[in-house]
Amino acid sequence: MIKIAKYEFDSREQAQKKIDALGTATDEDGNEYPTHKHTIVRLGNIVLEQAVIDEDGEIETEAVLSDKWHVDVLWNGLEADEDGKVDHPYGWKSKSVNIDGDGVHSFLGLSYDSLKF
Amino acid sequence: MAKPKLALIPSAQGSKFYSVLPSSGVGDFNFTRSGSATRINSQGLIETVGNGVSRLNYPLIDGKVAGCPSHLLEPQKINQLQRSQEFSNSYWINNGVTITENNEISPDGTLNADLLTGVSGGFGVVRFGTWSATNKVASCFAKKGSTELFKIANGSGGVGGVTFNLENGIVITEDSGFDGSIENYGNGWYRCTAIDTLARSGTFSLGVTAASESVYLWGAQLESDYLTSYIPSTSSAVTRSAETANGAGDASTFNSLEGVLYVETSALSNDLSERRFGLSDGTSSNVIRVGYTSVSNRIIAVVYNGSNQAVMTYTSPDITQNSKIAVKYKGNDFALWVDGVKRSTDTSGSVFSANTLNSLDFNIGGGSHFYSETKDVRVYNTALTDQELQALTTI
Repeated sequence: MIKIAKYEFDSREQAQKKIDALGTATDEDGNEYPTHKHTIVRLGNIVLEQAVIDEDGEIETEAVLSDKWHVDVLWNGLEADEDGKVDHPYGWKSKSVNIDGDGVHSFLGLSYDSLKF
Repeated sequence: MAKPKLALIPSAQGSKFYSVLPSSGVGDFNFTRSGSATRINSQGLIETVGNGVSRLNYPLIDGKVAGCPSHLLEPQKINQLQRSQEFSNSYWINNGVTITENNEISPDGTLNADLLTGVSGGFGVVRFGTWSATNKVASCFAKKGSTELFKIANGSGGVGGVTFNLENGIVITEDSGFDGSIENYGNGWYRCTAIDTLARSGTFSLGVTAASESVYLWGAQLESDYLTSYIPSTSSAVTRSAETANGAGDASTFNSLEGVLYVETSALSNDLSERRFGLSDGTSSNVIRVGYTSVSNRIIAVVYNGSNQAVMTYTSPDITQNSKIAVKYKGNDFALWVDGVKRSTDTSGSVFSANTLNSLDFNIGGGSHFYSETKDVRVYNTALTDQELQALTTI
């Protein structure tokens, strides 16, 4: 089952720790690779308000960035519980945010509003 | 020549790469991609393919479909630009131009391409803070209007860009640190690409080079690493998920004692990443693989059964061009053939126990996905002769 979710972490390191916990392995050349089938998109400190630029191209007002580290995930193959419900993997739910519409990022051909938890 | 035991010739889209041999279906690859993607269809038009459906991608030569399709297998990529086909949208900052919406038939065959006409100022549309160290590959489809000159630039002070000629389909100028390329999509349309090899941050800019001149625009994209298929966007940046194709065959399909692994393919980029395609026992303990390495334009074939039994390499003129690659394996008799020539041999080494090899995959070793355009895959269960291998691999 496919689900799409949006998350806010306190830092890049906190997000990466959670992503790594989804599963990694190391090939014979020592390269680490994910063993899960989810699509992880590291958006980082997203722009909340765009910079204001004057007609000469100079910045009048700097852009406002989120102080959170944002990650979008297309969960692939999550299993339903015995009641048929699907939930965030362990430890992710507390970092999830629920918005209307796609926000700043989407997955091609898939609707966040239709596929969110 | 012996008949292959497994043969894949791209001919259908779906949840699998469908092999014509064996006819039982056991030779099919399981294909995955969450979400949609685009391809070039048999009419030469860009077309969206649905969730989880593989892509038959047709080659274009001089803007026309020429030849058989390939299976396109691409990595996860994100188009950082919003409104990739809507240049009048307020997402784009108008820098001295007028935009006439839906003024020309676009590369997807519909009337949704915009006309950009210079008036004053910078003669383009821009988006601040988009080029970055990661997102350094900018592209846009463009067609000649009143002028044949079109420019993709990093508009931040003095960085520069690439200027294209939309009449002749050539790159006119590349400013310092930029690599330009242009591809003919037919009906006057070109996909123009500017890569900032110095990975500088700045303002994405598209436009003409003089006031009152005009060009048609459609399908802008800014992505990482190298150019991939078009990712349309509207109100957000958009990700196309990674694709996989694995799990063809079983132990009865393959001969672990001798045979030939053959693939006709081209790399998506000479980006020095590890990409591995081949036969295995489902682990990395027993493997026959071909692929690309961290050495520029290097094709490699490896036979491994706990230790390397044969490692054969060949440096190609250009791995992004179509090549026919065959690996012969048999005890003390290994060879790598590329494009009709025996490129490397190894006369010492063992193979596998009977019934060891049971899977053919576009990903050997975990993270080394064989992202590529592949036209033909075959596995022979006998070690072919040099004459047969020459005939098989001659372009």
